[in-house]
Amino acid sequence: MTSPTCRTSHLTLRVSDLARSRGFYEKALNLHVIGEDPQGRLFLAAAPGDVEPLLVLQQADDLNVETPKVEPEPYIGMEHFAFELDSDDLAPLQAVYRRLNEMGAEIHHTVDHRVTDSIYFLDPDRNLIEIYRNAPRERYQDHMDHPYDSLGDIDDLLAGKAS
Amino acid sequence: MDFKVRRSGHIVIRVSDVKRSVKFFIEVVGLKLFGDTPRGLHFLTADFEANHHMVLVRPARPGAAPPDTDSRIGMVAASFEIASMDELKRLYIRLVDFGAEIDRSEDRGSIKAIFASDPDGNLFEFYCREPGAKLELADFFAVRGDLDAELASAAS
Repeated sequence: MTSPTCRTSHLTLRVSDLARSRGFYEKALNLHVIGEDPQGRLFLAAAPGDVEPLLVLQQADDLNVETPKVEPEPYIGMEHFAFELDSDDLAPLQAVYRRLNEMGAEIHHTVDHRVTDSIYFLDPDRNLIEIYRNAPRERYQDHMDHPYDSLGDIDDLLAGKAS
Repeated sequence: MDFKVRRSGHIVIRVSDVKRSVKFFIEVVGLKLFGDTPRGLHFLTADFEANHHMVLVRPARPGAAPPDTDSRIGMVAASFEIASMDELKRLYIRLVDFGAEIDRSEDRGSIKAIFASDPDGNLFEFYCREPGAKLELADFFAVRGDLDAELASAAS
């Protein structure tokens, strides 16, 4: 594998209720707060011992402001941000699906994207977030010519029902 | 069964001018177009083997307004790590040549960063790490100064 000259690192979100968003991401994605800066921004990572954050949350000063829009509303800007699971197995993604349902989180949709199996859900401010597992390598390689097709929802697969 | 996030994967942005934004992410950020679809989705990555897409650019619906990036609830910035200070300087020169709005530069010890806007005003952070230096969480927020002089001399 060649070393990329550029890679995704983290997302910073301005949130309406810091405690609520913190609790949400700790539960929904198993993220851990690894620190706080003097401005009160919270740094969240995949594991308690990590140094690099995946998500930074900062409390909004003014709540009388624009909030995230979700399709089909027209808007310009971030549509969603995606996090990758550290296993390409199906079971961890099923566990996220169960967790989101237990929390009562709003699941926007699920999809077989050929290169990934993905769950899209809304955070407390209605930011759209994707969590995915990479598809098994063979499937990934088989679809290099059109790798991002949407092949329908995977609700039954995630719920563990036979399809 | 438990689960763990490995890393951030990608950001998808709705843009006012797909051609202009794709040009920005290819010519300035240095990503490669891996694929596009009839609906105008453009998949961009630095290295397909490392990550199938890092940025997805797609057209906004008609009538979409530009984001109020200074105060809105939602995205403040998306951060990308660049391989080296030399790469970061080259990126700075490309940002200037493109006419991108450069918000600020930050010297945070083992991390050096540039914040700049894409053509729609979405803020991106590009940072590099000092080779061999121990990374501390404070390097993600404790600003010691800027890189303006160093970047200006690289650009001249």
